[in-house]
Amino acid sequence: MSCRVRGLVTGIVCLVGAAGALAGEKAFDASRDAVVLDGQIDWTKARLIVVQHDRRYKTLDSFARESLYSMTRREHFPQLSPMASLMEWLFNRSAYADTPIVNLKEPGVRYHFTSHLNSDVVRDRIRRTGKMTLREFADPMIERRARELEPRPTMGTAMRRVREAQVVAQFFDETVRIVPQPGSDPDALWHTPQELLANVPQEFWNESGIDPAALLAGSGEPIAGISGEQALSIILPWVALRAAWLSHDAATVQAKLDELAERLPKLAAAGAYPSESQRAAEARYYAMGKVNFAWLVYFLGFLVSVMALVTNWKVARLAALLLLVAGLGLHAYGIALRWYILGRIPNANMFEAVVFAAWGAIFAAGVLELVFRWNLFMLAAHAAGFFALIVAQFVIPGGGTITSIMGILDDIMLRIHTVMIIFSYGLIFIAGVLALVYLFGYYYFTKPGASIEAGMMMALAGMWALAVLWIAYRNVQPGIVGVPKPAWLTLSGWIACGLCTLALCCWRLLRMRETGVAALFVAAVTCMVLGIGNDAFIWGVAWSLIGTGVVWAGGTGLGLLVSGSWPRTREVALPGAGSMRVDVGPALRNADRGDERRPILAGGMPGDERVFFERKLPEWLNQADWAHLIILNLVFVLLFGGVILGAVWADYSWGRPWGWDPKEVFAMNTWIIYAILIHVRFVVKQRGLWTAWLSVLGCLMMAFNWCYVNFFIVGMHSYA
Amino acid sequence: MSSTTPPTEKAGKRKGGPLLRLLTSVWFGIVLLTLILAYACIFSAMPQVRGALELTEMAAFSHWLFAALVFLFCVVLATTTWVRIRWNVKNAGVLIVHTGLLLLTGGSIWYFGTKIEGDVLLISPRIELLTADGKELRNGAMLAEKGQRWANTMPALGGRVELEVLETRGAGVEPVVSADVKVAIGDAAPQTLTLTAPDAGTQPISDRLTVRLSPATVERTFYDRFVAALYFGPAGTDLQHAALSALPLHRERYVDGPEVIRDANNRASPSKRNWPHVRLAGLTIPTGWFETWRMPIDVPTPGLPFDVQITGYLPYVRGFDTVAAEGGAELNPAVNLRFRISGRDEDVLLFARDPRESIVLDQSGLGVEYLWAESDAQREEWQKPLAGPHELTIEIKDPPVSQTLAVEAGQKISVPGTTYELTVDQLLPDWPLMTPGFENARSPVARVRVSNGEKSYDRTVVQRFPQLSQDIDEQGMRRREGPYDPNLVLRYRTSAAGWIRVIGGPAPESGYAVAVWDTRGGVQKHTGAFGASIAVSPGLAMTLVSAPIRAQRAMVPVVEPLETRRPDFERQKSAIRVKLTGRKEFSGWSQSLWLQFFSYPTVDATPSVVRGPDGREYSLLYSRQEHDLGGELALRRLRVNFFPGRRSAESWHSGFLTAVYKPDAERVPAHLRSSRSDLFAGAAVAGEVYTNQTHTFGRWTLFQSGAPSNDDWSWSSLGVGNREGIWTMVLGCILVPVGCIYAFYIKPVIVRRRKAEALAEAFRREASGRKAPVGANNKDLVEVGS
Repeated sequence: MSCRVRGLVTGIVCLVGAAGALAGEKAFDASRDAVVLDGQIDWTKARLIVVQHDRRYKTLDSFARESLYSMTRREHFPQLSPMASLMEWLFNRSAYADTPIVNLKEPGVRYHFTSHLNSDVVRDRIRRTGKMTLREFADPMIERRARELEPRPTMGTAMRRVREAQVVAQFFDETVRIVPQPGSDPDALWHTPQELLANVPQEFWNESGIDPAALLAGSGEPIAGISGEQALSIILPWVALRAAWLSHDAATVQAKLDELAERLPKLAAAGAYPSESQRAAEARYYAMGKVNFAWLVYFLGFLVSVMALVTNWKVARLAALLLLVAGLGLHAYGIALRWYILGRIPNANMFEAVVFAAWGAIFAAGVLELVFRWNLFMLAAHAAGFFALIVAQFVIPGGGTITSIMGILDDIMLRIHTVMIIFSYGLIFIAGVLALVYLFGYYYFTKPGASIEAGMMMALAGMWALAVLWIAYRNVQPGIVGVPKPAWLTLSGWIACGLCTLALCCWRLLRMRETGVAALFVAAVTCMVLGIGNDAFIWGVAWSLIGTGVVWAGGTGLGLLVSGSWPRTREVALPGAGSMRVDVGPALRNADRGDERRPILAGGMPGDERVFFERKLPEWLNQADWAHLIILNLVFVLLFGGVILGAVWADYSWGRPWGWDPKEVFAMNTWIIYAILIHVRFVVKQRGLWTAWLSVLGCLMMAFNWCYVNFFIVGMHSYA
Repeated sequence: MSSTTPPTEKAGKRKGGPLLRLLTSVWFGIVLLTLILAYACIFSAMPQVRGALELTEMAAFSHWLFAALVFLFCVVLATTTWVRIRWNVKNAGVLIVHTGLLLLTGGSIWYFGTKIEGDVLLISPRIELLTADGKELRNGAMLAEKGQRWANTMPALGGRVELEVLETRGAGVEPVVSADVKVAIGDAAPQTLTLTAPDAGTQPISDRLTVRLSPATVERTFYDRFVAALYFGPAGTDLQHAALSALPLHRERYVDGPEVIRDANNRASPSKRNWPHVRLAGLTIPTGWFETWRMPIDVPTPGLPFDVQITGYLPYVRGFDTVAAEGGAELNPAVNLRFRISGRDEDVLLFARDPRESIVLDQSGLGVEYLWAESDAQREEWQKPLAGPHELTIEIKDPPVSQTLAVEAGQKISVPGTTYELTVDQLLPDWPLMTPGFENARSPVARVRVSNGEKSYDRTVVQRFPQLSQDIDEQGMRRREGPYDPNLVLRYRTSAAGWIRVIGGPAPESGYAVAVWDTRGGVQKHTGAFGASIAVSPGLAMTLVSAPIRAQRAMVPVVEPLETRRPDFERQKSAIRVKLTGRKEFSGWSQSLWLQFFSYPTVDATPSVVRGPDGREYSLLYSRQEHDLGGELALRRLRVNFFPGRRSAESWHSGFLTAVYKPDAERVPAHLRSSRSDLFAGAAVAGEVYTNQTHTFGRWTLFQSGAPSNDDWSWSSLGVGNREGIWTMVLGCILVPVGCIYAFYIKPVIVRRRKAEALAEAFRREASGRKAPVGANNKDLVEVGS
């Protein structure tokens, strides 16, 4: 069996590893010459020029990536480096007037911004791709629509994105504040090169024979503190750079960029210009995609860990461990770079917290794996790393852009409370993975048929939710603001959820089989989602159900197929089980078997080592339960400590320790679930099973707190 | 708790009655925890539920139901701990955790049971530049602090003006009562002034400018974050206040009133439930036992000649519209009309006796006019059809000739039997009047050139007010004193763009008449029934909403449309409707009005003034409940740290002075305490709060709450709150993790060690042929076995 499994898993790994490279994108027509020029320029110095932008100092390279991303949803133009894209946008923007370069992310915005268009072709193109040309984006009707939509809270995020794109598309020159303000104030406002024109001495205009009237039109008063000589030292290379870029003169471009890179830092007030090593770190960090690609290593490690767990193959274990070390190393490198760039611990926003928490939890799980050697911690660690970095790269808004933090966050508690809380959240996720492993194994060995049925039911429930969604929104495009969710969907969702819950409560009276109970449970959850969620939420949950169900049922089926046997276990009555009655005899008799094997770190709670089935469950399921307990004990203490330290912070920050803010409440709720879990273990027969289910619930509660509460519920923690 | 030995260890079978068994049941504890969890999830994650029940987060978790669940849980926890857990070293962990939880819960109940939270607005001391007639200059102020400078070039006021604060002096909690200021204007030599508030606080610095010292505000009270209050009293006096604890917060709730509340898109915004109940399958179930809001709310207002009742609450008010409502002292007929134009509603208010407001003319020339007919004959006269789109009536006294005919611009008219030759020069649909008493009234006019052989002049014929028609004679002189030619009377009427007249009158049996002229002069007469729609033209319909006869102006709120409401305004955008009803001898008197919310009753708040039934004026103000600070507090300065670029603030620091009253000072009215130095417990003390730093002031904790967005010095808002029971909670919070660590990581070691010892002892006894003891040691083994 093990050879077949090894062969299968190795094949999957190879297939995933060989999965295709991305096809290169075609350059814009307008940037063909720039592509050639880009290849001739060494951007090493220029990209480290600092820009004062968005409440922080950042490298020109970061500025280019972030600005272009906010307009195009990509960090550079096709086949151009970010720096070359920036130069094109600064000096050659008019050439892109008819290039579909502005990318509108939200379907609702696409709909509203195109409803005035007469051309069906253009309207359909924008609605389908989200891409508008600069000329289309500058239509006054767009501004009018934006003003209408902006006051709507539901459009807040979408309109903020539109405004950011507008700034880059239309006012980009005004944001390139690369000229430091000389003097002693490190926070003083910096300037764009154009603003220096007002400081150019009259003698220069006289000598050069240039009429300054046209150049100075619209420019304000001369900037105090910058001499004419200083202004000229920047203006002249800037103007030459522009001319050279437009004429594709690579040598001059290179010379002027280097000149600016050398002169600009000299103008800055002491302490304002970040050190060269910091700037280089930032450039490297962005160039490496914030090192999020480590998810690939974790993913590979996860597959190998599964193989190691299922087959107990030492080579696979070693490979998985090495991959864990590699993943942790890359992961740590990304965190360290970010920490160095920021000059503070990187855990102040969603991206930083997810990445940091995952690393902490993976490290802890790695240590535990080395201690206990069960392959379980390793598997959970790989899963957590993969999931966290995928979320960080593809899901979290902003994609991990480095931002400044509010003054209120700049406190010692950011290093203690936040670290403690997010570390516990990371461990909760690890526990969640262990719970799923336990549940999968438990049902595989005890009720494989029902397990497959349950997986299929989940998938069917997801499909059903998608069908309902299609029926509800078939005449309108989902996500369009102003099209409310049909009342019948909300009402019927809640009613059906209520009926399912009622039936669940009476499952014994109704003499339902476990499969029926599972079906009712899945139906209740799906109906609740239909009742409570908007179209996007329903869509996401539906696909999650389908994916999970297919993997669950498929995994069980595959296991049965590969093993070639049908596990047979039968529940037997265990006198006294669940009644908390424990006599001395079994304790003594089992002392050298069950109890002693249970690691001391799993705490004082009884483990699931008692024989509950006719045929004993495999040892690794007991280990999964113990591993689970080790993590949950840590979580229980860390989460409580983190919440209490948060209360301490709130007390000296907001004047009260507890304000029933949703974030606080849901942290407390998560802790309550674990308190229930601990007590449930005293009064139920199937302790491991209950623990696993409650752990999944705790993990969902944590995820709800971290995602939904953060983004959709207004509270004191909104800035986080 | 977590690592406890099995709860049955003290006895093989649990003793006690059913109640004790219930209270010591782990399952019951789990059920209670689950209920607490469900409650917390629903009330925290579902603002819609809190909104429907009018609860804030704080109120939801201070609700008696939640308190009861927590209390019951504590009872179960305490009972179970006492009855079922043996007090020994091995169980120390669980005992510590449970004790910690009980302390934490007890402390929380104490804390939230006594919690008061609010804020106080502190204005910085400042030097202000004013014009000679006392008007404040825009941006013409700076912080009154030594070393502060202000400069601006103001050519109209003397050139460049520079101010510098050389020195400041304070007294008590007032940081600045006197300041030396150096002033330089233009090329003149700088002068140094000493400004001392209040007597010498304002001094001229040129013939056009004065400079003034405005001391910091000294605050003795703060304002509750959640509880609103109604301030009332005779106008011009200190107002009393009454807390409005039962006022809703989230939803519009109002009992029926004369006006229809509409949003800014003119959609009706009906009241949600206006008393706490739920309708279910035809049944009305009262929910007042669960919900704390009420409507209407009787407000105790001692000293007023009228009762005050809150009859409406709106959480999102964008502005106020003026409507006419009954309640005026004299005859003042008014009508509220609603036009529906292409699916959109537009309200029109007309006052028959006010020339300016008795008509509206739209851009096309369509006029809507409200007239008050004193007789039926007059009513009929005003509804006559026109001879055409424009009608001119010509009356000549000598020889007596009268003629009404349709006219158009450029038309020449010879009046038969006379020498009069008339030429219609212009027909203007909308002409503003300037005559005293009719300023800004508008009317269609006809300009007619008249010639009768003797005189040749231009006459402007005003449709609505023929008496205001004026002549311009041959010399171009406007004859204001009377017609240049009294022999000729001209009257002009038009309906070229349509015309609508709503006609009321003193005879109630006649009702209201509505006459609608079409563009050809034909008229359709309607009976003006309230609420009935009258078709005016395709796409245009009119409804008579109300027509008060003794009308007065009333403000009706316009609410924010649902789609643009932001949930974080708390009460900032709200308004309440108060109904005033005369007491005793004034029992017939009644009045309703809307009051808008002001965050602070003392800063930028404008009380609404009503004339009471006794003829006196009374002020009413809707704001927040006031609490005594127990001392005095004044801002010295606000400082702001900026992000790079100085365009947005990173953090704020507020420096202030405080002085705490002695306990017996509460007997002295707050506003009189400053003058009584014997009331203070000590000298003024400097304090500071900033981001992540609070300050204790008497029994209150101060924290940074708000600051201006357009400058970095002018004011600061400090949060104020109490924190009773905090140390009990702290103790509980320490015990819980300590107990957990003991239970999870120390107890297992003890248990395993004892188990090993017990086993070794058992094997030793077995080897020596003795039997294992059963008595006391057995208990240990039970615990070990767990």
